[in-house]
Amino acid sequence: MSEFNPFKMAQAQLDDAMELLGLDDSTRTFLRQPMFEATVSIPIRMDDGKVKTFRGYRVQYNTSRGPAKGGIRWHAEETLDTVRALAAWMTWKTSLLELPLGGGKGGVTCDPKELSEREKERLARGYVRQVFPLLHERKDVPAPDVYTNQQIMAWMMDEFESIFREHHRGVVTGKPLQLGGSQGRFDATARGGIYTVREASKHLNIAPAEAAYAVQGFGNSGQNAALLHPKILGGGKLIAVSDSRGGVYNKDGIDPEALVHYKQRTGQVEGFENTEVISNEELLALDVDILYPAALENAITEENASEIKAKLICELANGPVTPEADKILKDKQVFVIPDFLANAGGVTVSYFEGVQNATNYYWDEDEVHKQLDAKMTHAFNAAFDSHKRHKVDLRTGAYLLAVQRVAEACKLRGWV
Amino acid sequence: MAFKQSKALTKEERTARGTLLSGIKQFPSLENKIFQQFLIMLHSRGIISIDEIYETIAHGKKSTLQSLNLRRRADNIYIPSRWSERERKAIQKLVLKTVAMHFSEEEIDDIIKLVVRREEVQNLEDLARLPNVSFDLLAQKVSEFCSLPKPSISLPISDLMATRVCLIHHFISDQLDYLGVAKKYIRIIDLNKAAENSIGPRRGAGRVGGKAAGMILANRIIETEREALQKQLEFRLRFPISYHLRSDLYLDFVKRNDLSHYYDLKYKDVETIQTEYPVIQEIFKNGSFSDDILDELKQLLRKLGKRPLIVRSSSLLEDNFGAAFCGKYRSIYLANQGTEKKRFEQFIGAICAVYASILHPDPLVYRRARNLLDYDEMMAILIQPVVGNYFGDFFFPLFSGVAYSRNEYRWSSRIKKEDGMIRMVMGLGTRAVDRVSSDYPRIIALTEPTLRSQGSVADILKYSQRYLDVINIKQKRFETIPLADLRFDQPMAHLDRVVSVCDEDLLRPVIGKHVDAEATRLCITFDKLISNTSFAEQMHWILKSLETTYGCPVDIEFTSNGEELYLLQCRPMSKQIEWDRVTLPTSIPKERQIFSATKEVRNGKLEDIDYVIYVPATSYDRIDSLKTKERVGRAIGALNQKLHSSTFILMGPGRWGSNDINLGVRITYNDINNTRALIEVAHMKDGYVPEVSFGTHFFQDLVESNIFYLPLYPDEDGNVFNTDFLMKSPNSLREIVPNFSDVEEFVRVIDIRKTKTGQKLHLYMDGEKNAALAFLQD
Repeated sequence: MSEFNPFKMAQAQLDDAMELLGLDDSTRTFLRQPMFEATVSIPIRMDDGKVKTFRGYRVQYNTSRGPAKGGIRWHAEETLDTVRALAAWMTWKTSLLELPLGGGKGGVTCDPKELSEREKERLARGYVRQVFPLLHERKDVPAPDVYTNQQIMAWMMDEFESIFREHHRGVVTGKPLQLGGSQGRFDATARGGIYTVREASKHLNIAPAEAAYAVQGFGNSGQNAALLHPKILGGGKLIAVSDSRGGVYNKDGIDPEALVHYKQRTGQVEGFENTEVISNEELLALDVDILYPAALENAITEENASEIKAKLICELANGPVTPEADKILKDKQVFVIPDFLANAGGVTVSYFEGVQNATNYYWDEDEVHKQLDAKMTHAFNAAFDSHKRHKVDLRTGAYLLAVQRVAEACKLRGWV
Repeated sequence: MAFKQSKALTKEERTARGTLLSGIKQFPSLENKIFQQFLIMLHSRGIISIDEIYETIAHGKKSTLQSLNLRRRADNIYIPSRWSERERKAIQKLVLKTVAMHFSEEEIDDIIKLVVRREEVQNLEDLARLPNVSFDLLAQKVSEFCSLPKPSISLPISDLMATRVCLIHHFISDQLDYLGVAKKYIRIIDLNKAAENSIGPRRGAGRVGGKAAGMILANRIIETEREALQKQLEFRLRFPISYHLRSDLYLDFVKRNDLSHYYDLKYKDVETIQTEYPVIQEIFKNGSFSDDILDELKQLLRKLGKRPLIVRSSSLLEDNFGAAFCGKYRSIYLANQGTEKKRFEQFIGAICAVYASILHPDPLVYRRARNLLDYDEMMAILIQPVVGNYFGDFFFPLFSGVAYSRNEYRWSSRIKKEDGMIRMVMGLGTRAVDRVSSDYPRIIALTEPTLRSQGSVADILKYSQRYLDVINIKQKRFETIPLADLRFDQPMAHLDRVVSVCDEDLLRPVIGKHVDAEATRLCITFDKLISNTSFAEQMHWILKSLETTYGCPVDIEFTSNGEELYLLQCRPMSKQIEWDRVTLPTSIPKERQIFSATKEVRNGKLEDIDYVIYVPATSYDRIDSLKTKERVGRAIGALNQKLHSSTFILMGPGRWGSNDINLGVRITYNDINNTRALIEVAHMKDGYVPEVSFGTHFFQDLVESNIFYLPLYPDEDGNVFNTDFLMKSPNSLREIVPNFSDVEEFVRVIDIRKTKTGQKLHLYMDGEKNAALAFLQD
């Protein structure tokens, strides 16, 4: 049996969408492959004096709508096919949000647990030295992803600027605030998700201000979802939260701020006052209006999907619902806001960061929130219309819309 | 050629002669020894050889040296003659004159002092060789010796060795392995310090115990090596202020309170020990001391003032070469605040509690397993002011931890075993050595100190220390507090070396020295300590020096106020049996595979396992009463005793032995010591997370007892976890420990022989591939 190939899977998914859209063969052929890809060797002088060579990748899947945008992953099992699949995914995501960007992704095959801090810096700079002809705020803009972060982005930007001997803050996003990062990045994913919940509620007859909600996974986006739900939606009752160490439940409601503070102090939610212990499985099966899966992939599977009682699921995590579970939820008429819409607040604020870097004028947090709201609301409604128009679920509707926009851009440019 | 006597003495020479004569007059009993010493010096310096002296005096009579030469030529012909009284006098006269001509007044004075010192050393040795000499008398003689004026010429170390050995034997340890190393490093003056700071009954004889022994020796080794290399240490090594309650005081306490009959407890079965211990503990706690001792303890407490204290066990067997007794006996922190009466009461209470711990089931089972039960174990106690700084209402060291000269936790192939590792925490070191819940000390591989076992900032935060163990001065107690609760509006020296500031996914060092963020944004990383100071290099050097001197891998406990480093303990590292590589079988059908593991696997093999004791996470999680959860732990303990002659393995959720019962089954060493493998199961959805506990006392117990440790992650791709086998095989708990049938639904005992006829259960572990498999085979 051949090994799982993420790019082949992405292509198959795209083929289905292109079939539904009735795209012509030349467009289909063009969209099935990345426009540009590079594999580089990055020699790094390790702390012990020896030189080790790492393999790096950068894929610009489609730049018909604008400069490629996508993170850089440092992963021990990174392959060109993974990077291709994720670069394609970024293309549809930026398109869905109507950002003037294309899709890209990069990666380095390495195990960050095997690298000291100094070696990480050398690797970040070494990567930029190899791919710098591809990068530019008007060509291809990387961002943090798996095992990369603000610090690594800062090193990359600095290396790029030192090659060109001029400032190019917008060459990467996800930078520290002091180096041109954007306000509002920290809670962008959750905030964007809540805006889509607000919009979805209007179509589902849910009053979010009175809704009971539960959060599965209490990392950055889970905590922010718990906090922002009442702030943005004017109320709501958080009744359960879980993290990797256990869950807590109180049918009368949990104070999100106090719980976040407790989590910061103790590293867990279990033990929070006035709550009962609850397992992850039990949390997913709770009778809530809105469920925010914000932890890992495959939280809702065909085994537990039938237990779900929530009316609305907002996928803050990547891939929390398996395709099999998705079918069950559809039959149960559970409305799912798909991940590439629900968690697109992050890439949207990345785009804002680029905008601010380009104008060299920086917005305050309120401005970021206002702009994010506008983008997310617009994207949700466009996706919702597509789902109605194509008579498919929201996930498929959003995907069709995104692919259609890219196809259109390619056509207008006269590429296909 | 005969030595020629020269002209009459000059004025200076006459003065020198006078010095020598007055020296002899001052120490008449040493007259002969003084002359002998000068004779040797004249001979060895080539001023006048023994032959020349003899020729001059005896006119042709052969010297001993010549006679020996003759004897070598014809052993049976020549019989050496002895000196006559007349010759002796003549030799002395000649020596007197020659010395006066060739030695300065100061030199003569020094040599006389050297002879006197050697005599004193010899006297000490003679005294120390007496079988029943009291500690006080010996200590007094040591003190007198140390107050003698020091000659500018030191006694050769060989002259001191025998005396050191005798004294160390009396004061510190009678272990040959220890003596072999200690005699080279522990000076008489060090013993004097220990003796001065010790308390025990008059005319008693006892030692300061194993923990104190390790501490004294380690500090001396490092100091000696540092001096020899003239090494500058960034973190100055300070010897911890220490007071000793000698082992004879414990003996006295036992006799005085009529507790000796409890000694038989050690020969009873574990269940009886467990049942009786709480009562014994209470009886010990109410024991009394003689008025003399109470006075001494009171004076000691006054001397120490209101500084927080630690009352540490230091039994004779503790920190032994080969049996480390990690954390078996009690050590108690005292805030030492309040009225003198109250402080004294708590002080005495702590001492009694440490005494009682000699009969705790854990050390007794531990001793039984190592054939140490018949040894007349005695408890000495080490009393030390806690190292640290005041910070608001709290008192704690900036950092503490445990360090190993060999690293058994290597998450990267770049990490070398022989470079050692550190497991450290901010605050008191209890968090580094105990298995605490939901908290993680920083682990530093000394090969590559900045290498981390976590890849992302989120993981670094998740696996970081969130709580500090501190002394709360206001509440007068030992406390565990969240880091986030500290208020950094007052400065704390060198805090910037310990914490980093977290801005979303940016983990950055503190800029400058002042921490510019609230506590909730801080993460304990020790990043600056590792990157900007020579701490890691210094620890590496200390571990290597100790390992080389001890002749075996060692582990140490240390603490620091940020500027000075204190070595609190040092002992030979627990040894794990090294297995050759085991290759996993490849053709085991799926249904015969029971579980597999892919993390922290060491080489090893368990064949023909008789029983699997399995606590399913789903059942354990359902228990809502603390009592039932505790009973599960006790059932495990009972099974451990019943199945002691069988091969059994333990499987269950989370962190076994954690202090948080919700994170894993509560057990102690004596509940699991007979198992062959401890397997921690981490179902992703249940939230149980096994901790890499390398370096905790718990883990050291597993290592020493040759218990394999395996964490299982059944939900990760490619891992096997045969729930059907584990849940559907018949449960034999009721037959083996009928008293615990009430916890049958939480504890499953699978008797392999009753499950699959003829099939055997094996567990193979391939450390090189980091893969383990338990499987059934015909």
